[in-house]
Amino acid sequence: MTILRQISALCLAAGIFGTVVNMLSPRGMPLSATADTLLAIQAVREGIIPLDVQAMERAVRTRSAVVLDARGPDAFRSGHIPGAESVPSLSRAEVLRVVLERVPPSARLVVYCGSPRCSAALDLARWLSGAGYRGVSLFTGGFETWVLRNDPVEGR
Amino acid sequence: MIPSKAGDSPRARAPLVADTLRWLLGSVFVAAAVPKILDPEAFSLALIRYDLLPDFAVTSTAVFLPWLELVSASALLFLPSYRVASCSMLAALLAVFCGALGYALARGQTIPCGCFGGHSEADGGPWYELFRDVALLAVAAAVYFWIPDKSRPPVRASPS
Repeated sequence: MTILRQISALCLAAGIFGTVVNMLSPRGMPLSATADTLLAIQAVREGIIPLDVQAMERAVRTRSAVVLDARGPDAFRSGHIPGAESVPSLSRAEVLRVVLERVPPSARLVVYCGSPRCSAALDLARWLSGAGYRGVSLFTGGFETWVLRNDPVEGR
Repeated sequence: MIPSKAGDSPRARAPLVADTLRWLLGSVFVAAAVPKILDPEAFSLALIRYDLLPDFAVTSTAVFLPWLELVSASALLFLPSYRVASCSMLAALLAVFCGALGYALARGQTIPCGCFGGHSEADGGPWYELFRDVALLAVAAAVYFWIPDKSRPPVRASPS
């Protein structure tokens, strides 16, 4: 029983420290943030512009950006956002072929992957920023959110 | 008066090893907790990539888990009467981490483990990270084994 009491005390102390520091810290977070909010926070911190689904719909409708799909080739073939180019993030040679040879560094790029929970799009956006592209955006909701909105899908 | 058996305990035979392992375990957890406390957003992202927690639990886990690591590690290092509880807590955390890493590997995910903050990625890849956590679990077991009797919760002696 003593050990259980001590473990409870450790948990309580962690809870108190965590709550107080989270409240006082400039990096404190809402305790119930959703996955796409967190991805947006991370993107902003790394100089990447996060796009919500409405902004993404506008970008696709007006063709104001080059859209890059960071999912694997199979997922891309089974359906993607209209006009998107497949750039599997694991294949940097593919990135070079698709992006660097055809898109000027001044172009606006929007990257997405399967859902707010996948890391491929953020990795690709980070890589593109490092390669000198300035207008890199990240559609935080990903393809999952796009489909849930009943927006048009190509390749199905 | 009941004679002390401290001299017969394994720790008494190898105090340097016992203390070294305890400091190793505690220091690793302190080193792991601090970057996560300083950058909870990045750690949240690392947790999301595991896809094990519901969205509503991700940020609260990212806020409280590093503090649980830090508080438990500090207790292991500096509070002798809490060594059993803190060592048990750290071992339980390591078991959870091993399970999460094993689950990610079983699904073919090659994500950064986030063990030392959201941006951390071991050079050896996920199998190395799993091996490291299993090794730390073994260290935790050894630390528990070597905890001296006097730091265990007191047992009330019978008045007779």
